[in-house]
Amino acid sequence: MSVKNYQSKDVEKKWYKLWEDGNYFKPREGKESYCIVMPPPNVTGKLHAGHALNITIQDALIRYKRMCGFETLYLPGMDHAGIATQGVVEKLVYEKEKKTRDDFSREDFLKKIWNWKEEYGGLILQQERAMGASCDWDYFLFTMDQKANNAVKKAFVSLYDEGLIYQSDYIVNWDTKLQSAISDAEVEYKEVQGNFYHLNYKVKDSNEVLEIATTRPETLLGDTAVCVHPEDDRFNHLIGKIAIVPLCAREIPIIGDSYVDMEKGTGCLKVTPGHDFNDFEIGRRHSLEIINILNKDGTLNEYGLNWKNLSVKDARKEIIKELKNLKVLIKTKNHIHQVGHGDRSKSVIEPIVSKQWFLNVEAMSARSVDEIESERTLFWPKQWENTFFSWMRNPRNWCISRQLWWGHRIPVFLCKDCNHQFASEVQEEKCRKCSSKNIKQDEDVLDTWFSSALWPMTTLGWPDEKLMKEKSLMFFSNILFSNRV
Amino acid sequence: MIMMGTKFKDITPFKDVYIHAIVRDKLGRKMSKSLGNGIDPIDTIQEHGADAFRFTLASGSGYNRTLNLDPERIGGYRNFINKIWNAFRFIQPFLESSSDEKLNISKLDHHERWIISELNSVIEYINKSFNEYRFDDTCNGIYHFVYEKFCSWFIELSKPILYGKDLEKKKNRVQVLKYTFREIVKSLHPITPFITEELWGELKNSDEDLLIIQQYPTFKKEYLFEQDQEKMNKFIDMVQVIRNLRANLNVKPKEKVNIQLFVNDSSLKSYFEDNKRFIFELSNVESIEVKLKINERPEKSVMGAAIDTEVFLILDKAINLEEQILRVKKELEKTMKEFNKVDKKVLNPKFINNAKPDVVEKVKKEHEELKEKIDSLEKNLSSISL
Repeated sequence: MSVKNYQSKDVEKKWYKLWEDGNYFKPREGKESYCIVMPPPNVTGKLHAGHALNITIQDALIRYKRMCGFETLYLPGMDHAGIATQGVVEKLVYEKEKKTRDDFSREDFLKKIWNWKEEYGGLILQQERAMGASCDWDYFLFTMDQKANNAVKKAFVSLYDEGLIYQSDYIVNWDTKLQSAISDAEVEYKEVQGNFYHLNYKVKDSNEVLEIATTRPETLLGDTAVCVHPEDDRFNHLIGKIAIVPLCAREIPIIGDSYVDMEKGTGCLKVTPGHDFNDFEIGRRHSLEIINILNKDGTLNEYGLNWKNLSVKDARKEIIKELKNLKVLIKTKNHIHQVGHGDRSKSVIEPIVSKQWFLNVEAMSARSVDEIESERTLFWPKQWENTFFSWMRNPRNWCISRQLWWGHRIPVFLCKDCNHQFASEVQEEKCRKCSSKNIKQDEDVLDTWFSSALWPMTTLGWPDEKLMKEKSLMFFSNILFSNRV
Repeated sequence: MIMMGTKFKDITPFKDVYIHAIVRDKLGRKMSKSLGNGIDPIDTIQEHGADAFRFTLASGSGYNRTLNLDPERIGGYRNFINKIWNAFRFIQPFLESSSDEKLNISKLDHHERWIISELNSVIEYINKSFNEYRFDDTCNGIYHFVYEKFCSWFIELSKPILYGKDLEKKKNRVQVLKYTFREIVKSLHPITPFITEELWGELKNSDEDLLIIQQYPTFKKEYLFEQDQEKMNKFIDMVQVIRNLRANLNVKPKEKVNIQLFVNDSSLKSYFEDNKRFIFELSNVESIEVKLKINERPEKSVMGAAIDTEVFLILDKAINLEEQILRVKKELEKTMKEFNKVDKKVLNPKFINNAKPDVVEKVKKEHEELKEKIDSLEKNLSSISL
């Protein structure tokens, strides 16, 4: 104690070891239980200031409650972070071996990712210890551990058998760099300087012309209707007639829908159900054809005509030139608009219609809203409730599939002989209907958030009843920490 | 998680959802590689220790949306950690003769009742703020108690007793110091676990286990001494005013001054008179007179206002008031010139928009500091101008 200035290094090391070895982090019998499930950091992660903040206040609360006589548990974990981790390993493999994931079998590439995880993953766990996190490490779970996988399969099969999980052609946020669908939450909107291109579409057997304004003229190659407001006297006499799409000469119906804003723009909307979220809904309402003009990598497919295989960016340039030449493009106006970008790849998101797996969240989100409204769960500060409500009241169904390898593989099997599709918690060998061995498991994996959503239950043993009884704490994690809802 | 939890277990998985702040750099910008403004936690832990880092993060966390992390703040809280360490080092030799006995309330003197009651109030406050996720309030509460009340005042007042000859008084004072320090480390443990566990090793009784599982301090009605708190806080305020007046007049530390106190009521008069010797210990005065406000104020003096008390510092040949007024006026002039230069920059939109953000920040800080300096010089001048 004669040391003048406090020497933190030795003291910190000494006490962490004494606490951990002396089992001081384990839950001790108390009046009530108090559990905080640490938001599992990514396996790719290195501790940053945000983590440090999270750990500090969670650990402060845990230590406080522990000293107040609660049976406390600070539950640590780690997240496999599908897109992030696969991205890191793909980059490394390319740097070292100049190979992409398609040069390997799925199994072999997954082995590479597991190897990377064993060697480099989890650095963050040591750093959490350095911060003083008083976790019971015996409860530690990784989101791709067998226990986690069991929980995911159980939840999935249960929801599937109830009919809440379904496949659908749906318009999704397609990341052309990652070549996967991403959720609304993973899209970042950035302001981009663009243009409104005003184009003239001819009406068939008539001298009349409809003026359409668009920021993405290349998409006209996928147009399947032109839409006007039924009460707009300028155009409603044309409803039911045919318009002709420039460049590809496709004949498309002129439809009436109140979605069109008569006051704004030209009053005429081109409808591209395959490449715009709002147009997709209009297409649903009017049973329009869906045309997909893009390849998975964001280049134009055969619907691209002369501009086939060009990127959207390049095709747009060329198409504008051609439209000018044909005197279809009558004016160009500057326009600043919000364009969605993938938050990982930073590339422009192209809405695309593709077959994906969805979870119907209607009933579940209503129940969640009820939990907050009944104050069984409280937000601190309270005003965050409003953000929660804006997300959870009338949410779109959740797209849970990802075109990646690193993640929980969707436990659905398709029989190639009789076309029967079924979900199962075990690795099936035969079709449940016709017993054929010609069955294949779905290629896609689940959104990381699917396993994360189950985390408070998975970490406490669910669905293993025996495990759940052993854990002395009831399933009731007291508090969730987030920096946004 | 709420959706899945209620679906499969039919209960909500959480009672509370706490939205914490987002960490930014000291200028409020997102930390990024390109800006080179990141703060690496591991480096910070190496440099300042985990406890200082934790205290900084906690003290910036409540219901705010962003936390602007300033390395200087971390350094500042590191000094706080050191202060606690040094306070302990001071007390430690006296602890050797202390016992494991509980505090005897009947034996407490006025200052001891004061500090116990102040500690009690803080304990009530921090328990409440912990439960409302106001970590910033918790940290502030503990910081001010430890830094000001405990270290600056109680330990200072204890020195004569600890070095004195009255063994009975010394024994009691040591008991109180030990009790208070134990409560301090318990209170701080959730935020700064390492240093507190280390100090606990020297403070605990032989049959007590580690700090991490000790009982957290709670408010005790029997340790509430509101009258002692009120009186002592008035005393502290009054002494601070004496110190300010000395500073404003540039009185050298070794020079003694003559003070007259004018108070509202006779109970405060008796209190100050009973505690005169402490005024002598704490502020190098030659003489003190305590009078009621109904009496005439002294001529040739400067006045400072404290709670319920007017403090007069008598001007005698030791203090050349005219010289002092001139001195302050000169400094004020100089500072205003400096301020005007900086003010021009701050009001120039070209500068604000074109200079680098950290340069702008530096200039803005200087602007604030000079403004404050002018303010205090003007107050100083008015307090000594008759």
